[in-house]
Amino acid sequence: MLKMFDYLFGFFSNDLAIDLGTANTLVYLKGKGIVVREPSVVAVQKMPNGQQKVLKVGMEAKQMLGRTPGSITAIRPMKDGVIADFDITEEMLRYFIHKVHNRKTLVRPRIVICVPSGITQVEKRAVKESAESAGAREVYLIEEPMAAAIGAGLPIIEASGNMIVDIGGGTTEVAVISLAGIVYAQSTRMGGDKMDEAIVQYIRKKYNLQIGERWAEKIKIEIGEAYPGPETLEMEVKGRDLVSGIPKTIKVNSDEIRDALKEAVNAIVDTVRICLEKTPPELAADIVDQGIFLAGGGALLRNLDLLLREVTKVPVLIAENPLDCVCLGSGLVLDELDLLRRVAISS
Amino acid sequence: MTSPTIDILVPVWNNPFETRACLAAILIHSPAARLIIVDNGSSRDMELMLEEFSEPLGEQGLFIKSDRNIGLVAAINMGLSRSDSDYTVIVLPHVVVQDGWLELLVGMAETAAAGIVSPLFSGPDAPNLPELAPGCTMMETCTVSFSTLLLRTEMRMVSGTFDERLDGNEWCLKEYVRRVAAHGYRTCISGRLCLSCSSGQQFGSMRRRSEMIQNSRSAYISRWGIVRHYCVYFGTEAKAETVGDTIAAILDGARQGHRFTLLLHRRQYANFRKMGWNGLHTGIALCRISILFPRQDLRRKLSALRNTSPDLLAVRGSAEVPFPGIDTAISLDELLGAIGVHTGTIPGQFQEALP
Repeated sequence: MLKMFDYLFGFFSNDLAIDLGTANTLVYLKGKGIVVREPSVVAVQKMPNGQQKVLKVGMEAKQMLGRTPGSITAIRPMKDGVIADFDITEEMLRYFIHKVHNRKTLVRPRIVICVPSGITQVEKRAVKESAESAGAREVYLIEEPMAAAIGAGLPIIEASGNMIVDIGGGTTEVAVISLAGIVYAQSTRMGGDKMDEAIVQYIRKKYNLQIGERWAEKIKIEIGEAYPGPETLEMEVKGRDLVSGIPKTIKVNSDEIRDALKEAVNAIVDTVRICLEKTPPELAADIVDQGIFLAGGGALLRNLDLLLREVTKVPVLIAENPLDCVCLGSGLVLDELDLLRRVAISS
Repeated sequence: MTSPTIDILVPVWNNPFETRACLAAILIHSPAARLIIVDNGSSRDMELMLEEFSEPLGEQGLFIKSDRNIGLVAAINMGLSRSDSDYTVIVLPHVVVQDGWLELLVGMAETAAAGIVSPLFSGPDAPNLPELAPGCTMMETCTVSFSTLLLRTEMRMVSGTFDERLDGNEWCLKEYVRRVAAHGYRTCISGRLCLSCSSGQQFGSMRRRSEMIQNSRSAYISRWGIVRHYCVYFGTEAKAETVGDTIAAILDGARQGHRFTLLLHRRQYANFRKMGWNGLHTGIALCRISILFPRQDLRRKLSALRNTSPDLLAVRGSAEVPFPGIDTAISLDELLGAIGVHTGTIPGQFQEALP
């Protein structure tokens, strides 16, 4: 009986693909493309009875970060690529599903969700159950590097080796894909968030200046680099002086930020190097021919491709839409159910 | 007489479920052998699993680890360099061994005085090995697979290890078989043992693989000369008793990797089979010519063979007998000159192992 209702509600729902990232959540609606691109942040109010009430989700919640009164907290329910708060994630998913469908009733879509490649069975179940509780009638999980490779347009079905490096907010996934399967994957819990943290720490240590995460992200985007470029960039940074306690403005340049990001960038480069070393020579030879593809927000870090090329001696290319690759890839498989069943992972 | 010592060499790269099944079966069915596991740059989880597996084995186990994936052949060579028993058996993780497998393989190697012995394989993606002649439990061959392969250590000492520059499959093995044959060791395939086998890992793009195969083939030819398919016709009058020397020379040629199809009239065919010449080598095939319209049937058979082997060479089995319809057929002496062998007798030791 329930199956029949699911089937009927399926007619009123459009299939979705969700890139449930640590920093941002993207939703792909079948036939329409990416329709939601919002931060993975939920603002919750603690009620006197101890329960939590969701106030805002996404962009509105992110703007509340650091500006909330005591009873309201802005939570990031995803940490290091996996669910850190089950209930809040469920609420966030429910919000996005309803936002896409513009209504709250008769919505039972088929959902494809991307997960990091190294997650455990328990973590997979948590994602699946969250989506089911949020109203999904069928849930498929796809590993992020696989989705990124599809989104980047790599020939994943062929026997040749394809290497994709997906640098997200919480994790960096490096995978070698061949014949629609991940032959080898290496994951490190290092991503854009850790880079932001590194910048905060660096400026705190060097200038005794406390800056927020949003400023750190802005610095990373504007002048952050992984490898020295032809010119040194500069920007003004506002924060609170740790000694005097009053607001202060300083100037930082790209050389300093490169130094701040050194550890995080080296961790990513090491992961790529290890993955290349552990890949069978036959596939490594294909990778040398085709190059390494960078996806995810971290791929936009200036000159990261140059650094990787320098270290690995392999051509490095940045995917066309690095930020959207994972979501686009998981959305593309919604149109090809056979491929979806081949690349989906069991939970 | 003491029983020979055996090392079982398993090169591993990830695939935890398959590898666990393979290693467990080896431990159950071959408790006396020493297990050498070569970890060819697996992930950390897999490495831990292998360490846990080999630790309780003590002296009966050896765990060799390579930090990077060096390729299958190099990993095998790395394991072989640490093997010092009388025999080393290579087992790839997609093979599951069974009760009595090792005794059968070693028994075959001892009986036939062979340097290399391979079993048969079953399963949808099993290696494509040549079929044995009906009634044969063992045949000499030039086509084996890395999936499971017994190597005599004494032979390895003189012949060396596998050539890592070749394709890691067909031509690498062909070259090794040819090399051991040059040192007087035979390669046999055992029909008594059939191991179940799932699909092995094949990596890389088709273009690169075919390029590699082409390069390996060229390297083989430059080292050992071109490998041909010959079709020999003895005429109607030739008797089995008088062509023994020719058959011995043909067997020598087959050991060099050449293929021979012997076109035989009905009585010759029966006599050749009676002599056991249908089970000499997988590279020698006996083909019976029909009693009705033999000339037409011979031409038909030759044309069918030419379709599969365009470079087929027709050979006159006797100087006095022409090859019907083929003026360009070469003589037996020319054949022997081309493959560089001289007529001799079939080694008695091996003849005993014949069906």
